[in-house]
Amino acid sequence: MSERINETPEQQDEFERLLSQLRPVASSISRDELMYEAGRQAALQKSVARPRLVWPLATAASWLITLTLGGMWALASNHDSQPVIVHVDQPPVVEARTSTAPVPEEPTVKSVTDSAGPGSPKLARSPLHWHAGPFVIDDLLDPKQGERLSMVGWSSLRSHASSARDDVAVPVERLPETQAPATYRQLMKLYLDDQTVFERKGDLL
Amino acid sequence: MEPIELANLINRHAARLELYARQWCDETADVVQSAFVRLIEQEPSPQRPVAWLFRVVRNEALMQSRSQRRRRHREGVVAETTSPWFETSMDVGLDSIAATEALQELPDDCREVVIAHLWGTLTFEEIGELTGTSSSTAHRRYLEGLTLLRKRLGVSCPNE
Repeated sequence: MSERINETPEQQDEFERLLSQLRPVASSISRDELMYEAGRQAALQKSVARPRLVWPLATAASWLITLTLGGMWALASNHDSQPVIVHVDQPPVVEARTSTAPVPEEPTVKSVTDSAGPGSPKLARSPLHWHAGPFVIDDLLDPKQGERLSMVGWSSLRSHASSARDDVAVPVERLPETQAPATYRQLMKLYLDDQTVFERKGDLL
Repeated sequence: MEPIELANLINRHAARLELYARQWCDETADVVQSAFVRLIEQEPSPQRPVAWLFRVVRNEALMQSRSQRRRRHREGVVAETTSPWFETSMDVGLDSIAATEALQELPDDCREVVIAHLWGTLTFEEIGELTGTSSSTAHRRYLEGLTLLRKRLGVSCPNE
């Protein structure tokens, strides 16, 4: 290309200089108004950007908390509704009293359900079972204190005895309201004092 | 973009941008203001904000021009007489009204290049990017526009 490109004002000829001296009509734009609008837009952009993160995060957190608490509650209620009942075999009384007889086996603990049919082997139930209802004997014992009864286990046992009178061998009035028997042995004594119900109390001791 | 930088851009280029937009539409203040607001929203800011502003103003003005033409056609309104594009000054050896009329009579592509280079202070390379042509094409149109302006304003060519 042979033509020279006039890029700088020094390279312009007289006519171009004359034209460039013409000043465009002053802008009708209000600079202050435009600056105000600029500030407003910038503030809007910042305020719009923040909730995009905040609200989804808050929603996710609340959902997480709800699901966690719901799951914990469901697990706890399932655990309560399926009690395990333990039956303790009683050693045969006659064999235990004869000196020549072989030493009876230690009572074994078997876990069965109440729905055992008539054909199933009949297991002697300890008196505590009838009073404890759905509660497991081990639950009544406080593992931290050896044979000592836990207060929670005692309260549960007492409330069950109040609601199911037919199964109760010991009148509720005889169960101390606030003070639990100190040990499992004391609890058994409470039961065994009632002569009308337990005919074979010697077997239990 | 810093407020002081924006204020400088408005002071220096608002009138030039309006002149550039005036070749297509009447609502030049709205077009230029909208371009500045869009410039603020840019993150990050464009490297060459003046060239960027000219491009945005061009697109916006062409869009306005189309809707303006449709409206006038629908309403049967004849185009209004345009006001002078330049301020009147006794110091300048050219008449502002005559210069305005001469510019208006130029072909569109030549007029755009002349205004963008002389008053917009864009380089031919930037004008080429703006109009979608090469810098040499932009320069050729510029020279062509100057020749036509000389004829219309009665200024002799220095080479003659």
